[in-house]
Amino acid sequence: MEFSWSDEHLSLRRSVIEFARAELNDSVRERDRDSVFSWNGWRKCADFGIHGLPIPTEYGGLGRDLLTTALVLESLGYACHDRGLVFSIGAHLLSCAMPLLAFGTEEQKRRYLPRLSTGQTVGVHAITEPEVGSDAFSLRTTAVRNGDRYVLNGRKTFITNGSIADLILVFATTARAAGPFAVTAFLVEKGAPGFSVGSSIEKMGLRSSPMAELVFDDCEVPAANRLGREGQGRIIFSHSMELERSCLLAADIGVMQRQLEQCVAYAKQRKQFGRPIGQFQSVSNRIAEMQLRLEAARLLLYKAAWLKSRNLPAAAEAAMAKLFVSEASVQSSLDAIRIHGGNGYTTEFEFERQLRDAVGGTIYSGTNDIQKLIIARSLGL
Amino acid sequence: MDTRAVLREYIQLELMFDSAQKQLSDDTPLVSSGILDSTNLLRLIAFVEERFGLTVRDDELEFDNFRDVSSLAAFIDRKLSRAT
Repeated sequence: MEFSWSDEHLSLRRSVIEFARAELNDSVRERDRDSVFSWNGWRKCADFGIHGLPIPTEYGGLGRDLLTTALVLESLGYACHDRGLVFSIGAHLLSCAMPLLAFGTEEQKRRYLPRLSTGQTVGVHAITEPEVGSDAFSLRTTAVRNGDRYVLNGRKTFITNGSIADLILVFATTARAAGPFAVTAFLVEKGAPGFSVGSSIEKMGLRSSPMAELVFDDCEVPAANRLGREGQGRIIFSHSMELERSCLLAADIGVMQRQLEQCVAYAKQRKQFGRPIGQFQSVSNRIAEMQLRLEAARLLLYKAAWLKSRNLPAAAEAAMAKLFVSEASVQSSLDAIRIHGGNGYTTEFEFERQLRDAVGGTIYSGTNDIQKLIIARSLGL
Repeated sequence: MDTRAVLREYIQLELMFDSAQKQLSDDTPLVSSGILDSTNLLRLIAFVEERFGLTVRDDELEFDNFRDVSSLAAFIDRKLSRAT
């Protein structure tokens, strides 16, 4: 068992941190306040290579493994204060590009992966509907075969990157009576007839990551744009969910690391009753618990990422990682606020935004209630 | 072993306790009746694999194999007979 990173990994982490600190932290509070996506940040990250990190070089990527991808996302979370930007990049990569890589035809991969790898095409994953959330395979968007095309009808909601989407991995049913067995995935391009972007959705957190409804109104999709077989959508969706749960929240690990360092520094310098507040047990205990939670979260996430990087089964591990990291991230943000007292409650110190961002992690990629169900099922319950 | 009886017992006890569907016969449609939703399907697969010592491949997760208790039992029995 090996718990250390290679020199190459450590060098990459330093590079990402230096890049993020220098290039990605302008006007973060304003973008959060106004729900503005950072195209400048998106392009800079793409130029740095993040969008194509795990995509093979033959498709324009850098050919790195998922473990390295998770490390890069953690580093971004540590040094980039715009959690919404990092979330948008992670969703684009893990929920659109990676499923395409795993299940696409050679023609589909050559057509879309190079532009996804460079960030020129914004990828989106669309399954949730107004009436369908956790029970994902009861979706109502239909896909009817008509010669060499499918015609899609339905509405998707809570779609990350929805309002800036260029390529949508959308899930529809080819036979509602067959339930999960007829869920099928399609690649829909922005200009497809019958496709439109609906209302933008304002959120509690991750506000600089765009979210919108997507509308499919007799939307025509070439049969060649079906991803995988008819009825394989359930497997494609499960694949992307395991990737998200194993890697996407690595950025939260980075945020928690930064919060811990800030809290330690504050506890050493802030004095009350004549001494640093870190000398009071109520403060030092809280920081000790932050450290403990962070280390446990890191181990769970990287074990799941390690399994996925070796194409090993990881449903339970990914669920545990997602559940624990997201809950830890919320608690870490609350602790950071409490340790900083009144300062922690202000927007200037940014912990309140981090808390709002962290709450989303308990919901996306499958709610934490669903993660507990997956874990219990893995135990035969 | 009566594969159908084993399946009926599991489905009735574990997948139907809060279901609107109250009766289960061998030809009750599992999906349209609401018994097999997103999570119950995963639970049923896990049960089949553990109880019968099988591995259900992705390409075997077809509607025809999970249409009703009879279809699922026939699928399981075919896999068991191939294994022996």
